Amino acid sequence: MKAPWQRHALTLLVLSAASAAWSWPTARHLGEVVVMRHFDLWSLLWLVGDAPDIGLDLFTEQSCWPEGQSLLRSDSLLVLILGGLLGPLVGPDALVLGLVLLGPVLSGWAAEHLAVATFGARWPWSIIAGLAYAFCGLAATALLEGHVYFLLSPWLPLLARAGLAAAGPQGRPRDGAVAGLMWALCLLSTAYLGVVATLLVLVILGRAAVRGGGRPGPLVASAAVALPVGLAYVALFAAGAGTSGPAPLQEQPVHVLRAGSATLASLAGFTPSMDAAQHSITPWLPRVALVLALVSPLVLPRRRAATGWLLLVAALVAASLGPYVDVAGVSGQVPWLMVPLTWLQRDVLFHFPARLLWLAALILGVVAAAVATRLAARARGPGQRLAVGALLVFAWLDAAVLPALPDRGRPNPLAVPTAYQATPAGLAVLELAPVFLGPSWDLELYTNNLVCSYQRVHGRPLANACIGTRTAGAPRRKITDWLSATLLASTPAPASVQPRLAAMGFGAVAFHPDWFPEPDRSALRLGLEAALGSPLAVSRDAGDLVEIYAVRGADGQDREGHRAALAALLEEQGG
Amino acid sequence: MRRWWLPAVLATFLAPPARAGLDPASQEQTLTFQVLQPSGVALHGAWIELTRLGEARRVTLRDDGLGPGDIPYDGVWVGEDRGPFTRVVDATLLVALPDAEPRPLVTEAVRTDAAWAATVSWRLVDTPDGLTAARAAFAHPGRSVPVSDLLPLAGSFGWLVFLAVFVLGLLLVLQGESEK
Repeated sequence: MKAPWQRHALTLLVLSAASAAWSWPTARHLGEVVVMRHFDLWSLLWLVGDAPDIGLDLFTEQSCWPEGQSLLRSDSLLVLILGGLLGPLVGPDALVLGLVLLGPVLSGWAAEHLAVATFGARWPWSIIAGLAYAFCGLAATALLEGHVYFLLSPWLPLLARAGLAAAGPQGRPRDGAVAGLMWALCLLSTAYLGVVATLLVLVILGRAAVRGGGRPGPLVASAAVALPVGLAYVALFAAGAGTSGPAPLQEQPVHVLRAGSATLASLAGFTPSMDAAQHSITPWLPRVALVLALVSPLVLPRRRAATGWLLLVAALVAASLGPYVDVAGVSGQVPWLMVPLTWLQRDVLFHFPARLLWLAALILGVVAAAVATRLAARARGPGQRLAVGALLVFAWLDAAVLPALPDRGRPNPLAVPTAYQATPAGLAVLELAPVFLGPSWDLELYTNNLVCSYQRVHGRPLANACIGTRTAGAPRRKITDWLSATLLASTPAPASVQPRLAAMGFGAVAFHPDWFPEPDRSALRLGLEAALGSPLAVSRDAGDLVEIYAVRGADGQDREGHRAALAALLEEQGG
Repeated sequence: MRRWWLPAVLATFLAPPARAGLDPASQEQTLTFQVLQPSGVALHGAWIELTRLGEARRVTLRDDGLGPGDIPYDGVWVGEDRGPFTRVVDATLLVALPDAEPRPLVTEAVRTDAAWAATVSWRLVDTPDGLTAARAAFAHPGRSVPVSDLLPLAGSFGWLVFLAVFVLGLLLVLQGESEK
């Protein structure tokens, strides 16, 4: 048996190797490239970059200029807190890369700790729990989608550890307080992890009520820590009602709920089509852990039986399928558990039933670690020990290699176009990009979030909605609709462009010609030159041709005047 | 000797990150374009016209085995364009039917944001109104897109079956040992 620090070091090494492998080549090109598939990592970079300047009102004027944008309904308040505290020290890129590379390591380490402390697993078999939880299908989805704050989820296993201890006959108030804190951190990480954590707490409380012997002290301590955070969260969320703008067609309740649900195929693995068309929502269960957990009734002694936990996993899997049982998200209309939610013709705020499977992956992982421990104890001779040891290798491959993440993702350079440095400081930048609709909707969000992420370097306010998916309601869309119509009209009116943009506080227009088809590209370029003169700067670095046109005469200080100018423009446009 | 692993740990965590000097401005990126030809439709040629960082380019797609990585006459037309890294290009797909002039089928902005290489695929669809094009997750040789798309899933099932057989076998062996 190795010393505890040696076990921890080796556990962290195994998890670090898995983290580096599955996000390759992020670790090789540290600070230059990050692996992703979709577009949410760009808005996360924006949020972390903006966080140090956001006050307690959770409102920013760096986005949706000149109106500003509320962040009361941000996905992750923990990211805002981390960005505010650590962003100025390490920078947004390092913080986000830290979530990508170190998040799974810490999450896996916490799950490994839970397996040892509560489920009777022994090292090194306990590492199976860490690999199963931190690198499950939902973690792969988080990496590919860019919601990488999900990867830093040690709070859920630590909640389970403290909660089970607190609910036991030897429970101490300290355990309850820790459980309350971990529940709060789950909620602050993301509302979905908060829902999962609440389910876990309910199960733990129900289990304690059935078994009896619990003490009130830990429960009181837990509530004392968790309730203020929970109530503050609910108050913030309620205050943010109506700040998200109207939902586009793609976001109607049925579509959203179906898209965020598991399918029979995505529970088993991934296909290229799922990555291309279904946002890589592939919440498969960790395969090694699943098989080991399923044989647990044959292996674990009666007093450590995990039947109740496995029934909970079955319930979570059933719930994760959402409103319909789909084979692969494109067929079948068999109504299922959450179909009543689709009858409500309004947003139900619960969009991703698949995310319930975080808890399933954790349970399977810790039960599997306990099963592997028992199998290892039965092994005699080098051959049998080698065979049991192969389970560790299989678990590592299942976590790090088989998700094929480097192949499924795209190594994206983090560089920002240099042309933005020529824009006047203190004045907003108007991003002139096309409006992508229909099948190109993802491109609309990708380009929107990408240009928002550039702000972490140039620092100029943008008219884009930099958080959320409702770009249609942002000032950027309304202003560029007017600008494009003005410049592309059969009788262009370039003389009106400069004074109106200046009145709204814009110091520059950033034009992305490559994103427009001809002949619009040439017509817009000619129109911009007629209205604003030759480009102030042009750059072709960072994979994006950017032409900066200066808007003269803006001062950027008269916020009310800028808002009034926008309101006047909207009134003219009939909206 | 007991701490033989210590240098490896230190090397992993303390060594400066390996930098290949990745600079998007000078980084060469290969864009591969694939077009899947439907059964029963003969094509005389296929081209991609794109704008890459402001530069207009034309890529000839081939299915005669002379293109990069092309398998001759497998129904997948392939072409490559090399240049500096670019995140989005505006691309037009043109095809020529036998004895007809090339005509554009689709023009759209496509994401190419992978540092070193990106693949963009279309699937041609033969409709009563003529040929149309739709983006595809990928194209594979032999007109086997639906089958190839399921390969990773089939691999997952195979892996699961292997694990189940392995664990059950292990269980039987260890059970036998404990009974002895």
